[in-house]
Formats: sequence, C-alpha cells, structure tokens
Amino acid sequence: MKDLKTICSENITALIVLIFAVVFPIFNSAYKVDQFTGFYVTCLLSFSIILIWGYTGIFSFGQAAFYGVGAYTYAIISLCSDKNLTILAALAGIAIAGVFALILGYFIFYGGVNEIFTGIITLCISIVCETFIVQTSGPEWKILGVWIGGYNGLNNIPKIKIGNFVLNGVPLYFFVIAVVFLVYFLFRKLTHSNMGYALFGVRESKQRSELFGYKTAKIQTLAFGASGALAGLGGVLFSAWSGYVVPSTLSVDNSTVAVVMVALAGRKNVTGALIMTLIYSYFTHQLAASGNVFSNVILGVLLVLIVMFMPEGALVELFKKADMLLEKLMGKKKKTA
Amino acid sequence: MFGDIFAYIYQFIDSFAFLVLAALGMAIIYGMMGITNMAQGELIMIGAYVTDIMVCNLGMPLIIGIIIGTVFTGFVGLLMDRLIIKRLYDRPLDSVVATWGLSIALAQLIYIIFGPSMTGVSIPLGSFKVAGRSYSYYRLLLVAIAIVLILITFLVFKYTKFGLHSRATMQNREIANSLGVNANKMNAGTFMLGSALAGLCGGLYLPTMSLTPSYGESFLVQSFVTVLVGGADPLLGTVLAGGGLGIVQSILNMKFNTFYGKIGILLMAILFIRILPNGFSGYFNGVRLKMKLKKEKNRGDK
Repeated sequence: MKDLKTICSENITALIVLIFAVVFPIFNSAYKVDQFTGFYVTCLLSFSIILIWGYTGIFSFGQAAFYGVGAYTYAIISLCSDKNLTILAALAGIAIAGVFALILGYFIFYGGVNEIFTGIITLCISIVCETFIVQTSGPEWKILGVWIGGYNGLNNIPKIKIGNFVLNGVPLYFFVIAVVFLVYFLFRKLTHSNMGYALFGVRESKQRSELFGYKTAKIQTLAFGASGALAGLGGVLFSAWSGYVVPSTLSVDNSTVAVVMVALAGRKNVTGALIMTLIYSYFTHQLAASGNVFSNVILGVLLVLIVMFMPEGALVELFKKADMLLEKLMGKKKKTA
Repeated sequence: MFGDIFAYIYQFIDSFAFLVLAALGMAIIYGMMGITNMAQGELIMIGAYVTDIMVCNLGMPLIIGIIIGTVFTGFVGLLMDRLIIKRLYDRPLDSVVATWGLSIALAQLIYIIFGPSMTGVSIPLGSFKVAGRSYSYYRLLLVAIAIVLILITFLVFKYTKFGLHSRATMQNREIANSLGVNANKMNAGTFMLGSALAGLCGGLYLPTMSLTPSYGESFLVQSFVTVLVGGADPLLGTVLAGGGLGIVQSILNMKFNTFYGKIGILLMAILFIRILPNGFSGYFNGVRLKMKLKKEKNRGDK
C-alpha cells in the first residue's frame, strides 16, 4: 500500500504490467488479444472482492451473483429491441447490480449482524440466484420479451456500440484495459484517501470506528454496493465480450477462482490481485486446467493453506522481500556516490 | 377438509424436522465455538456416502449404516478441527474462508472417487393413507428422531460434565481455562459432536433423496438460514427457527414447489435479521434478562 510515486517493487511491477498490456496487441494475433480481453474482465471480479474483503473486511460470496446480474441485465436489455441500446444496457447492468447489493447490504449491515453471517447470506443468495436462473427454461420465463433460456442461457449478445462504432477485437481490448487500469488507479488512490482510511478503520475494528463517530453501517453498505456495481461492470463486459451468459456465470464456483486468487496474492493488495488473476487465467487456459477434475481440489486446498499459514498473501510477501533488496541496492549506491 | 389440514400439518412437521436435523450440528458448532463451518454440507454428504456404501455395497441394515456414517463423520470432524480449525479459533472470519476452501475440495474429491451418482437406498417402513393421500411412516420417524435429538442435546448440555464445561468455555474461554477446563479439548469435542450430527442428518435423509456430489448443497441453504435466524443459542434458537421457518417453508412448498420454499425462508431470514439481528435466541435471552432484572429490582424495593 505504498504511494503511487515512490519507487518500489509493487509500482515497478504495475508499470511493467501496464506497458505489457498496451503493447500486447502489436505483437500478438487477434485470437490471443481476444483471449486476454477475457482475462482482464475477470480482474474486475477480483477487484470487487478486494474492495469488500480486503479493504472493508467483509467476506462475500455474492460477488459472482452481482457479476451475473450485470451480465444478464446487459444481455436482456441489449437483446430486447433493435440492438441499439447497448450503452443503456451496460449502464443498467452496473446500476441494477449495484442497487441489488445496496438493498442486500442495507438489511445485513443496518441490522448489525455478525460479520461472519454476511458470508452465509451471500452464499445462500448466490445459490438461490443460480437455481432460479436454471429453472427458467420454460417459455413463460420472459423478461422484456427475451426468453431467459434456463440452463442454456442467452446467446448472440450484441457487442457494445458507441454510435456506429462497434467495440470488438482490438478496440474492445483497449476499452477493457482502460477500464481495468482506471479502476486500478482509483483503488491505489483510495488507499491513501480519507474514504479508504474509513474503510480500513471499519475493517480493523468496527467498534472503534463507531466510537470515533463513523456510521459503520452506512460505510459497510456503501462499500458493499460499490463492490456490487464493480462486479456488475465486470459482468457487463463479460457478456459483451463473450456474447453469451449461462447460469454458471453467477454460480458460487465463479467466485471461487477470484477469491482464491485474491487470497493468494494478498487480499489488501490490488496490484497482486491484478497480476495473480492474469497469471492464473493464462495458465489455466494454457493447460486447459479449468476443466480438470482436480482443479477444484487444488484451489480448495490452496485456499485453506493460504488462510492458515500466509494470511497476508504470497505476492505481498514477495513484494516486501523485493523492496528490502531494492533498498539495500539503493543504499549501497548512495554510499558509493 | 380434514385431509387438507392433515396434509399441512404433515408438511409442517416434515419441514421442521428437516430444518432442525440439517441445522443442529452447525448451530452447536457456531453457538459453542463462534465458528461458522461452511463445510457442513460436505459433512452431511460424507455421512450419506458412508451410509450408502455400508447399505448398498456391504449389505448392512440401514440403521447400522447410519450409525457407522455418524461415527465416521464425527472422526472426520475431529481431524478437521485438529488440523485446520484449531489454528483459526481467534480468527473467525478466516475460518469461514478456510472451511469454504475445504468444502470445495471435499465435494470435488467425492466426485472424483465416487462419480456423478450412487445407487440409492429405498425408503423403508412403507406408507399410510389419510383422506386419499399417502404419507410415509419414515418421514414421521424422522420427526420423532429430530425431537428426541433436541431432548438429548438439551440433557447433555444441561446435566453432564461435558455440557457444563462446554457452556463455561462458550461464556468465557480464559476464565474456564484458568479454572481447569481444557478449552482446547472442549472445542475438539464440540466440533466432533457437531460433525457427527451432520453425518447423522446425511444418513437419515439418504432414503428420501438421490445421492449425488451436490447432496450437501440441498441442505446448505436451509441449515444456514436456520442458524442465522436461530442465533447463538443452539437449542432454543434451532427449535424456534425450525418452527418459524418450517411454517413458511411448508406453506410455500404446498402452494408452489420446494424451490419457492427455499427462496421464501431465505427472504424471511434476511428481513428477520434486520429486526432481530441476534436471532430468536438473542431476543429471548434479552427478554429473560430484563425480567430477571425487574424481579431483582422489585425485591430490592421491598
């Protein structure tokens, strides 16, 4: 959580990733660019988990549900008419996911429920949402004239259109990385702002924050709503990128990967989450490991081990080690000068 | 008319038994240790798989299979506690994440070992007819078992040394420790008991459902919601929540289908915790405390 201007391993890696992301389309085929667009979309889901879990200290399984709500909303609205409503559909997807999270958050946090139960409630919501979508295969399940399609989901979702310009291929790639890095820099700024400190205060001790005069329920609800909207944004970009949504988009399994990546990288570190999600997405794609029967076992065991032995996260430890090395080198340079 | 009333009552006690049996193990673990075990569904599933193997592959009677399944799940719970939960006693939020990781891994392992489905166990004891509709004796037996289990749990926690020590640990860990209660051991015992109850639930419901690797998931929402509405007191909370949610669930099940029953109790729970965040038991204990204080005050006035 260093400042953006200091020279440290975290900022250097972030800069490398940014340069890599920008020059990537020059050296790679259109297929690869399209593939990486999907990886960056997944990063938004990881970011929303960082915001709620890492910064505010609330563990939520519901992020995939909000992601799915965003994806389905975009799909339904963009499919419902003459397909020129894509921008409206995208905004509606974000808004509905955010409002859904806000309403849920209101009931959870204003009641003053134990934080542990947030996990349970969001898990139940996620399961129920998925079951609901799966059983909508009948012809009577139509929203705005669009048949939801149950298990088969929705197909042929149009891409985002700005005027007459269709976001596809390389332009879509740049749009997505622009959004991802915008969110990234906002998060980095947030960790040094009063708003960020208020979130950290709630995370470290709710009671203490309350005694200092903060309305913790309000802070938690707003953070939950923001993370829902962010996950919704991820969902919107997902359905605009892939052209399909299925019920498993909002299943708990979809959160699994993102939660494990965030935990592995360090739940308080957004740079780590960005890199980890990219690396994981790339390797699972390369090894076709996401369909492997053992991938869930490995993810589960990994999660248990990280929580037990490395609650700060592996990448964060790595950053710390690298910083120490960097400082040593810099110190030597200063002495010789 | 009588047939309809009987159908509702039957559906209600059936829902009640389901909620109580699914939630009791988890409620005990949460109430006594403050730990939410996300892997409860998988423990239920382990109980069901062991029972199924005992009955279908080894030809044992159902009741022996259930007992073996219960004991086995208890030991799985003990292992879980000693290896993982023990290190997370003072980090309850992290224990949610860790047990969730465990649940993902366990569900997938069972899928890898046993495949997508198992031979089921047929429902024993036959059925009876009231006003033209048939009802199962086995489901009535499950209701009786749920009530007996509540009574046994009550007696164990109220009158045995284990119960006394575990209640002491629950109230204040440090003081209990300093008075010679081995809190570590108490926690292990509690977790084992909670897991064994999950295994029992899995075994008991095996004849009524098909056994797949998502077997645990069919209990998950109901058991979580019951614990949520019940609050910290495992007995009082579970009974009251089971009763209250049982009414909602049974009506929705009868009018629509089981999916709406599930959604209904979840929405009820979310509305409920806005009003009584500590659940039924928190509310009742608050009322009890107030009455006690009033009585003492009256005595003081005299």
